[in-house]
Amino acid sequence: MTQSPEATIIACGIFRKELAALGYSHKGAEKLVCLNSMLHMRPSLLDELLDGMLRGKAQRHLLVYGDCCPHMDQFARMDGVRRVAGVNCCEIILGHDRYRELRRAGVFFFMPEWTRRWERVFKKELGFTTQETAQEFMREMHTRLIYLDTGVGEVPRDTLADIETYLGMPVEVFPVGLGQLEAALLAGLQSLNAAGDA
Amino acid sequence: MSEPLSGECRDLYGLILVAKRDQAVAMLLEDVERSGFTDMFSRLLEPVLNEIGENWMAERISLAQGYVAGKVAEEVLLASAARGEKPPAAGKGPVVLCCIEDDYHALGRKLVGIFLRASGWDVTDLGNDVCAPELVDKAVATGARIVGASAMMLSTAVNIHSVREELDRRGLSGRIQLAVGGAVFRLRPELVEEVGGDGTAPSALQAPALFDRLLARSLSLFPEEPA
Repeated sequence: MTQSPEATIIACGIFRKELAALGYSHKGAEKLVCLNSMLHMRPSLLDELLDGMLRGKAQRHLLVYGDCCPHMDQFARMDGVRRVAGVNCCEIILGHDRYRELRRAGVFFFMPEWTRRWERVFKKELGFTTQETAQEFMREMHTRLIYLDTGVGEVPRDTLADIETYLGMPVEVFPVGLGQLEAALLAGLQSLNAAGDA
Repeated sequence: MSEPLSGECRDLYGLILVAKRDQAVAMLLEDVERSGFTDMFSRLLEPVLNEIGENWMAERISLAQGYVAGKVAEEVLLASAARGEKPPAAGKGPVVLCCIEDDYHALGRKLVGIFLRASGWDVTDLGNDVCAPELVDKAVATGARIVGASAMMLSTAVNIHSVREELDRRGLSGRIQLAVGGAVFRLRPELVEEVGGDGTAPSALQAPALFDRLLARSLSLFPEEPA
């Protein structure tokens, strides 16, 4: 019987610290590769990168991504490839029910890694270079801002205060921990192993 | 590719890009005072919105700039309506818009609503996370010939298929046309057919032209009965 090749976890860099806290690293039993989380803003480029990493490869891969690029569903159906459950990083970290409940309530989420880069995201990537436009947009589109505290690292209070000032809305700190992410990873790896055994 | 912008259009375009919204609105309303809404719309606002639409599709302008363009159009529309000015071709008929079940990306849908109103459509916007029966019920209640369902990602775009099934189930396909939109349709155009859409537009700014075509198709299949 041929031994299944080791799995590689390809993850969005937004989870880099959380995955390290759970014991996943580039030297671990499952090799970890993290891609830049700003690829979320360039879904076609993320498509190209993942296609290059996955197509024609014998290795098994688990994608720690949401529905973040147009062909993610096709990647997740390739032989030897699976994806964790969740439409985006917030659902992966929150779990399905809590994510839907908060999203329905109009919440905008800040993941820890993007919180550190909030100025780049809002001003450079989204183009909200004026506070007035940023505030109006957020008020029109969202009811609350929530920082998802995964418990990895300190809550960046000063940065959250800067965000509150710029966007004109309070940011609530919502402890989420790593339980949902860990469960999603284990379920994904089990699915990958089950497919390999078939 | 659109015609090169006139000098005054370039001025307006520049104001929108740097978020000088009040100045952009003032410029347009002064023009409405001088020459009326219809002339202002066709000479100034429409070409600028077309330019913004092209640059949006080419990813040369930001989400914030697209948002400002929509707000400028909305403010001018509301201010003009308050003065008794009607958009060109007012009275095109009712349409119903929504983000489909599980989708919460409101910006594109809101922009589509603004640009459709500016083009004379009577828009009912049901908001985010709307299921197929609710959308079709509202279309029937308002007499809409077109419903628009929006989804940002593939996982929610597939939910639009339930609208096609609902229209089929009630024998309304053809009479009520299904417009679909959202980023994933631009990146995977084959999805339009897969989810049962009758058509899509590459950006919110091109939605009025799409809705004109869909109305014509609906009327060709099911002509209005004489009153």
